[in-house]
Amino acid sequence: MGRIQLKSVTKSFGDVQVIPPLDLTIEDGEFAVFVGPSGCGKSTLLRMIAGLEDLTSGEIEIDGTIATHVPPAQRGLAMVFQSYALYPHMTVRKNIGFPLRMAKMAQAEINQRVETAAKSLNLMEYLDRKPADLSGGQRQRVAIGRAIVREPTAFLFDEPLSNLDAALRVGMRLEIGELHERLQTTMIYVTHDQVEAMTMANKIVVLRAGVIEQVGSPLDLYHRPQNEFVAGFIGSPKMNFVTGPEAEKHGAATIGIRPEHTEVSMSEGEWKGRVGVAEHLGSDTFIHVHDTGVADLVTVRVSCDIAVKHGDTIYLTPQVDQIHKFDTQGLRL
Amino acid sequence: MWMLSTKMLPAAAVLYPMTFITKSTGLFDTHFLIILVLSLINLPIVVWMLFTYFKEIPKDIIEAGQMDGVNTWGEIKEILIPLAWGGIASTALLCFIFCWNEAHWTVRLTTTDAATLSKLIEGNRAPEGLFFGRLSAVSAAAVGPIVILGWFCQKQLVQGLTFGAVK
Ligand SMILES: Nc1ncnc2c1ncn2[C@@H]1O[C@H](COP(=O)(O)OP(=O)(O)OP(=O)(O)O)[C@@H](O)[C@H]1O
Ligand SMILES: [Mg+2]
Repeated sequence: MGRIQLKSVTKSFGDVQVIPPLDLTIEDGEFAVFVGPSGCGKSTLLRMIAGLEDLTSGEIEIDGTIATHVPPAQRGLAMVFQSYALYPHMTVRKNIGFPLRMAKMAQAEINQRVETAAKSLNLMEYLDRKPADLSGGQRQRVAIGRAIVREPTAFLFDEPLSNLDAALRVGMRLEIGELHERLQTTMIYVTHDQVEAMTMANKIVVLRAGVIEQVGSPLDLYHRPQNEFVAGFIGSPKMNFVTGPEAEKHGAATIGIRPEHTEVSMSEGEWKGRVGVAEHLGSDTFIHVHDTGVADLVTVRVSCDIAVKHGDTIYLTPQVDQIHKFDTQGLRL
Repeated sequence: MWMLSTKMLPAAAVLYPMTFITKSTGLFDTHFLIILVLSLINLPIVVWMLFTYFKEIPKDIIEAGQMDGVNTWGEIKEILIPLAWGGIASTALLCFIFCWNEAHWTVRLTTTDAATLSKLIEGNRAPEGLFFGRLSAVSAAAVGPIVILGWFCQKQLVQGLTFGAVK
């Protein structure tokens, strides 16, 4: 079991309130991802759940029991740090077995659990090495191994992949996803990378300045963002926002249209613009369009190769049923 | 920094009171006194050095330890000491060198019973001049252990044990 409930939790550092009262429930077995811009309080929230940071007020319940003042190790949670935080003086074997040794488990049982974890993470060859002799990805796997052996009620990850290069990151992302499928244990994962959030989560929690902007499934957030912030944060490239008369036509203060929901034509369309940079990714092309008269820059995504040059005139037509409408407060209409 | 401030007081200034006190308490020229005095004069530098080494241990590792369930003693034994080991060793070595070479107090607070090498070297000085032969012999003997120890501890001194723990 691993149901985690935050009840009007707040956190202040001195006079600065980093987290205003916040309520959140993470169900057993869920893969919850906290996303938000840098400094919005994701790590702080995770560390409060872990018990590494005291709450200023409010309560945390784990599986129905109040855990607010329970020390970190007794909460049954395991954490994977961005910096891996391996014990440099211990071999991989000792690192993974450390929490078990601290729990005074019998040596035979420790050995067995370490081997099982090492096998599932492809670390068998490295068991007798020290962390310094491992690559970044291997170190991260050791850190995950150290979390797995404890059989925790929930895993906490704080940007575990941000020190890895792009290719490795995709690989590890899949491994963690695989791990979740296999263990079906609650996972809370902090990232500022919305692609990681979209691909891994069952439930995304979008934070801004310590406030939850929206909680929902990835597709929920993509199709029905509740406000402009979420709309702009989720999706890559970013949603285009249009204000003024063009938005009023749709009865809104602001409308948003995603790059993939805009038709492109060289001869006719609703908005006329000039092609700026075109980014060819092979599968898709992102065209940045200037001088449309509706917004400074409109990005569109076209799936096939389209022969455009810098400076060409181009016509854009938003798909009407894909337009997101927001009021003056930025809330969804 | 205030820890280091006692180091700034000229030792000569407290020489007379020290000699007087130790003579009147009967501690003069005892091993106990030498141990006490040498410990005290090195304490500030030891505290300061160790503080710097312990401070360099990444916070994440200590927190990982907390998540893994170490208690206070376990934290010291399993994490802090091994990680600061290079620092502890170099502090110990430095301290040893300082004590070995310390001349001011040992020369003045001992006569024969608790005499150190410094005293022996000092003893080769007579009003008629220096006994160069004996002086060089004793000095060489005095330098020997330090050089050998330093040589053996080199690895320990240079090795940065925290490497590879955090990116
Ligand atoms: N120990 C502390 N003392 C004072 N302020 C702190 C402390 N820790 C964090 N903060 C502040 O709390 C806010 C939230 O920090 P937090 O580390 O949770 O952000 P984050 O969302 O994890 O950001 P990032 O994506 O950069 O990791 C920041 O404004 C930060 O300056
Ligand atoms: Mg953070």
